[in-house]
Amino acid sequence: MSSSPELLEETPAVHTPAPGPKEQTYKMRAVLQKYALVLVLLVLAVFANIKSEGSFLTPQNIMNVLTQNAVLGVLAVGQTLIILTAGIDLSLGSITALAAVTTLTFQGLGFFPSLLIGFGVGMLAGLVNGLLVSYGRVPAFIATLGMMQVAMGLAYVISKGFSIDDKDHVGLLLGEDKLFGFVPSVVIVWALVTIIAWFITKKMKYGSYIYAVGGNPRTAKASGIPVNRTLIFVYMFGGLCAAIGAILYINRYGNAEPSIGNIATLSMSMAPVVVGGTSLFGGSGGVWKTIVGVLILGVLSNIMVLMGVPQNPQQIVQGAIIILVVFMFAWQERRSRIRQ
Amino acid sequence: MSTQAVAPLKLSDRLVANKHIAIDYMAWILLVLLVIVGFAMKGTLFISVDNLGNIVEQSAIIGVLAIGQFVVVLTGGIDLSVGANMAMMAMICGLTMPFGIFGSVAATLLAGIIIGLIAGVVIAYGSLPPFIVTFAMMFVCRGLALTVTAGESVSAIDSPITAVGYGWPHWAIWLIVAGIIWYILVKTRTGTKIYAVGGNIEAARVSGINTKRILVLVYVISGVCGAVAGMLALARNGVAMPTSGSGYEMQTIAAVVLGGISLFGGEGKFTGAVAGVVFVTMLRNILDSNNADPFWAFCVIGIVLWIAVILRGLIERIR
Repeated sequence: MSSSPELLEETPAVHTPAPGPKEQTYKMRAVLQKYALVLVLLVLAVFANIKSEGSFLTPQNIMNVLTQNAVLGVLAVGQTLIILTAGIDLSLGSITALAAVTTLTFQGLGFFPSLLIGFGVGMLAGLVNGLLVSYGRVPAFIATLGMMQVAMGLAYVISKGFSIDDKDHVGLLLGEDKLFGFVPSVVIVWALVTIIAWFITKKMKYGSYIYAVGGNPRTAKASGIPVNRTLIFVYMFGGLCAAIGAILYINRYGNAEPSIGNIATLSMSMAPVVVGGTSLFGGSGGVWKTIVGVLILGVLSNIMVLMGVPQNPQQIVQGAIIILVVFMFAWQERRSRIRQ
Repeated sequence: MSTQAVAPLKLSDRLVANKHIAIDYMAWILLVLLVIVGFAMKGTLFISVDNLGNIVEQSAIIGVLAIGQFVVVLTGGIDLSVGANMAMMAMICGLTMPFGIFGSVAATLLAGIIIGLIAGVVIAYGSLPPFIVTFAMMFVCRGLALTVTAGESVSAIDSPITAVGYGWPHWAIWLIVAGIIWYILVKTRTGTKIYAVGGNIEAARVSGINTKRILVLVYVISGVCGAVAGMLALARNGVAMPTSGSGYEMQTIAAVVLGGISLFGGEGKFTGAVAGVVFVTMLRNILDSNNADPFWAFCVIGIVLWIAVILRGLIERIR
């Protein structure tokens, strides 16, 4: 922890001159860089508020935005941990589809059994990904691309291509739809997943392993970190997040179909992670940054709705924005590397 | 030079020295095994001229896409957008058909070049991982294909391209594309540069190769292959569906990996990729002929890809 200002005052101020104007601008820049994305989010929100004539920044609408992005948000949290290890999971959208379809296929067994089966399927898919990436030494994007196809194929085979209705209300978490009559349960689940992921990455031993593996796998291995076990852990956590996302999806839409995996925003769960500033090359970033990324993209798509862009072109515009933002971030990262 | 007698190599050493043969001919060996499996399941019907001809004919579209994928993978990259790209190109070809067949073909090829150019420039000049860029490109292409007609198919039943599609053998077009790319790779300096970039990009840069231009070029080649495959699909089916080509990126990558091409670039034989394509198509043929749910094919090909990559890694690590 940093030394407190009182202690600094007591020591004789011989070798510590007051920070010059140059140092202050550096400090300012660092602070700005740290909170630049929050600033972008605020600017976007204010813009949306003006565009919607004051109806955007109401508590009700903010809850709506959070609800709309909860499924993607949970997936993105899982994706964050994977990207922190310099990996990637292209299959999270498909695992969501598979878990949703399996959960509803077994809904007759009751709430908890079907839920557990869904979580089990998600974690099993994550385990396969993890084993392939760690012990199989398959590049992450190839292993998870395979899983994307396998999970999607299985989802279609299990559901026979049809949409399954949530007759037994498996998707209604926490018994009620809204807590305190105001906060939707999906938002609470998203918050819980985020806090757990934050706790794992920042407060647990595994968290430092994750950052170490992403920073430099060889050094990590040499210093005795169980690299393979860490990799399996993050992919299983990703699979679990996908299964939780599936439950949230069922909660929101009341049904599940195998084509969920083809929804562009769900498949592109790495987009908010990168927009939030987590490095695709691993080792730097965090869960809260991802939340900011999810919200930025969510507010952007809301602005597009407010401006009257129809549904299908919205996807293209969003895809283009994602490519642009990823491009900008990679460019900036490269510049900062050169400067170092 | 030396007068010492050369000791004959032990069998194990000879195996290690020749392990690249196992990698280069992996697809051929597996192909033979698959023919045996097919023969065991279907009998002489499977190895009839009709069925084998069917398999070659069916492999044309995947084959053209796989050639583009092959060139990209040679540089250590990957193109996940080939399937969606193909669907979009078929739509463009169908929609521009009123301008005449030559105008339509030219427009489609141009669109393929543009798509490849965008992906290539972003990858080469943005120093971004190819799988991220082409993964996003996949959704952009799919979104565009769904948007232009609001999800409807485009019919080209009465247009001249279907006459070509019904009249010409499709494998002939595959052969032509393959021949052009083989010529570029083996006979021109550009081909040498592509292999050099895949082998060691830093070394290639230092030795004066414009690596960025080569990277852009390979994605343009893949885009053009997507355009040709799109036209082929339109000619074959008479309609262009915006949702077609789903999972094709997977089949092309599986074919390329089975063909012994290293995912890290720089290594791989052209013929291996061709054998890989025939293997993947034959696998689909066997699954289809058993009346299996068509979506089982997705799972099987995904698992085949995993096994191929693990197998290649294991053979490479033999010491």
